Amino acid sequence: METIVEIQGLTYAYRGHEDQPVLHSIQLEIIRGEFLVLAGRTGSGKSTLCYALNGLVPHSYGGRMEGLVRVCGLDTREVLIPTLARKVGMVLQSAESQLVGLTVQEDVEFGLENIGLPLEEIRERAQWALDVVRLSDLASRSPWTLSGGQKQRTAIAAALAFRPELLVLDNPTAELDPVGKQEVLETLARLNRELGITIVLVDQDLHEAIPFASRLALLDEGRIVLIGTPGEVLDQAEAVRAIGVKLPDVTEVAYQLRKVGGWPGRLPIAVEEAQAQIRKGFQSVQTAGAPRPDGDGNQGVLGDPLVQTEELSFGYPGGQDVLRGITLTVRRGEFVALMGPNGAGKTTLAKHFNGLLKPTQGRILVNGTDTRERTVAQLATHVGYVFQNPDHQIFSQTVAEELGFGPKNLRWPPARIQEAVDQMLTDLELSGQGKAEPFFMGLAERKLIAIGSVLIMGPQLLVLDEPATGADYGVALRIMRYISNLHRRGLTVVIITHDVSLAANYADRLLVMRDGHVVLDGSPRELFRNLAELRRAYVTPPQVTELVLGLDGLGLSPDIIRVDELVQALKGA
Amino acid sequence: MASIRLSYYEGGDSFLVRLDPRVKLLYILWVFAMIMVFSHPLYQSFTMVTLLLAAYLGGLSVWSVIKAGRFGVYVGLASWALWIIFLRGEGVALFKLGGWPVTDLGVMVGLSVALRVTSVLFAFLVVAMTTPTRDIILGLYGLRVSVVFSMVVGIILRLIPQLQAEHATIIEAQKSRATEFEKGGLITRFRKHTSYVIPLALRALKIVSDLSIAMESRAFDPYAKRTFGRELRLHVVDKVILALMAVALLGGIIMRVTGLGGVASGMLVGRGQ
Repeated sequence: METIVEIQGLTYAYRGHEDQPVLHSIQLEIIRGEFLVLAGRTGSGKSTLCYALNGLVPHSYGGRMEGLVRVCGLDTREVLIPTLARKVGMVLQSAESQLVGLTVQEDVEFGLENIGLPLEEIRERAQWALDVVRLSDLASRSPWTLSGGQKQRTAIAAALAFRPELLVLDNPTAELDPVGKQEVLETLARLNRELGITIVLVDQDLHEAIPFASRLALLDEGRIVLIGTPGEVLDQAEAVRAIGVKLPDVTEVAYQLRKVGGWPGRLPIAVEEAQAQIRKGFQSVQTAGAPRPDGDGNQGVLGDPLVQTEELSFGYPGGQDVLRGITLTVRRGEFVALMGPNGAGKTTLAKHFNGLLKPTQGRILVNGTDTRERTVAQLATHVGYVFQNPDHQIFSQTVAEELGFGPKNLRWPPARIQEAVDQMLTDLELSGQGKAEPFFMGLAERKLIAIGSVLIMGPQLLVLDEPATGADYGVALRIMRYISNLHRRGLTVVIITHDVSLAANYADRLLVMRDGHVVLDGSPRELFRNLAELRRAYVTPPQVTELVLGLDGLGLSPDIIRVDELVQALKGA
Repeated sequence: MASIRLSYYEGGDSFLVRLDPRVKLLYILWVFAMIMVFSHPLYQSFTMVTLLLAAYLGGLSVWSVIKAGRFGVYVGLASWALWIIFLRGEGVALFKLGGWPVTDLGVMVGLSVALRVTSVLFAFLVVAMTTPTRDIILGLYGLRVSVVFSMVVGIILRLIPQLQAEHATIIEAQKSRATEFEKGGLITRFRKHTSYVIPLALRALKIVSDLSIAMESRAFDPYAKRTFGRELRLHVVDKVILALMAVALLGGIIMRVTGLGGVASGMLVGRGQ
């Protein structure tokens, strides 16, 4: 077996922070043809390790590097990035930030032009790369008009056109909807299987990536702490959880049962494997541990209508309608998850709730008032809208100023602003950090500050666009627990999300959109067991639901959508 | 947020789109030279007419060009107004506005400066809207401009629309926190505008940094020999247009040297030159 990557004692610190290494004594060998998945919490060093593989570290970033990184026989310290680019393809997290060309074809050809290949060879290689990722039909399209998955496949084609031996992908599916994720992962699996290209993939969603992985490496604080086959690594569930990596649902169920002596063998990593082991070990569950009723007590008696849309349609000037005749009601006390593929109209609909967009047809009432009669500022005390990226919002020098920005705009008296800011700092568990600079805080804190700066204005409805995207498991959990507490205290919540597990664990109502319509509306339990309809709306059910639906005859309720529910049911078996 | 565009390029297969990019880039320089040669708005209007013609030959709606360059229109109008104020004591008074005299010299010089400001911008926009970014880079390279400068121009053209989209998102995020940008006095408004300037500046740094990583990872080296996506060749029509531009510029210079195309007091009321 030939080694394609050899890393010995790699320690690296970025320029300006030479005394704070982000990678410590990394030892790693990657065999040609492997599919290695890297995971770990934010800041664990995954991206830096990727950059070390194509020479960006140290050539582009500078800093202090110790140890050896040899890729395809080349010492990365001795050869420059353009030379390494012919051997190592790199794909980054944000598909859009990588787009250089005006058309898909131009984008793929850009790299080949850089290395001065003859024009005929550029054309031939670009065509081949586009064929491999199945984008030939879209070669003349602007990449900006493509779906998220297609954009990432364009980036993969651009890397592939170099005919690399190693493809490194830094969290390429993080911003994609489930369909886009599947497209990208299947493309990678094919490249690995059919062309023998070695793959190094950073991915937070283990349950999606590990079916394709030959090995899994987990990083924590710049060190590789666990490495092995996915089965070997995930069998050490305690250690995996300790470093902030989320276990796949099926592994988590088995792990919870193992803790009480209810799981004898190795922890499963795939649905089929778990089903086989459960069938062997559990004869009948009957009604023991039946799931809690819909809403789990957090919905209770629903209140009055808070938001009502009537035949709401919307289109941007000169474009097609993005929303088409939507009629729905959001009642006080609900926790709604708005799901659907990219471009379905979720964000456009949500922006109508606080008046950022006004209907081109139909109307929307917030607290009984037509939003066309109110400004966004007037609606801010009724509906709070938190954008996906906190960096679109934060601008103040201190946390307190950031939190007080909205109330100041509402011309609250200084004493009232101060009181509200102090209360919000306490609620966010940031007491004593009012004078801290938000730009230098972690992602979780920045996201919480963004939420707090909207909540402080006292809205009755909080809309959050992808609250957990880009965050690791620990950060996502902290944010969702905070939102869940707010909901329990009576706040109505609407979240826009691709994360089914988040919808299953927190929402009591699911709205699924496609092509500007609401195509499914109901409780998560009701909708998640309806696999055919979900697939038509490009939504996949939680892995635990897939597991349960394949265990018919065992007496498990098909309403199970959460890990703890299945664990409870199996404990009673 | 409406879908964002990768560049100003509008696409299509118009006469202007098919022209050699070097001719189009030289046209921008030609507009600059022509508009500077004359200071009389009537003579400058010849250059402005060629802009309208270029937009027509590029299959562009005049409105879309004006919309893309509206900032330049505001600057042009503002400079016109300022010149009218500055030159209120010179030339022949045409009428009074709020007690201040508006003179013919103020109107003419102000309009001339406004046309100078806007014409080059609109020439650039017409070319950018009818030329793919890659061809602009190729054209600059063909005009013996350094690869580094050519690529920088290409990258800026690639980034402007993306930053415009970021700007729109940040404005929406701040509006959601009850910011009313259009309300309040000058200082209040200035303070409100920092709420998007700072996030936009930080996002711009992030976007540029990500793009540079992506480009480096694709072997981009501004000093290395590279291949361009196509070879440039001047066709008959390109040569004819170049010749026409040269003749017009030469004619303009001769007219100016002989005393035509300047501005003097009394022109609007039948006196002077």
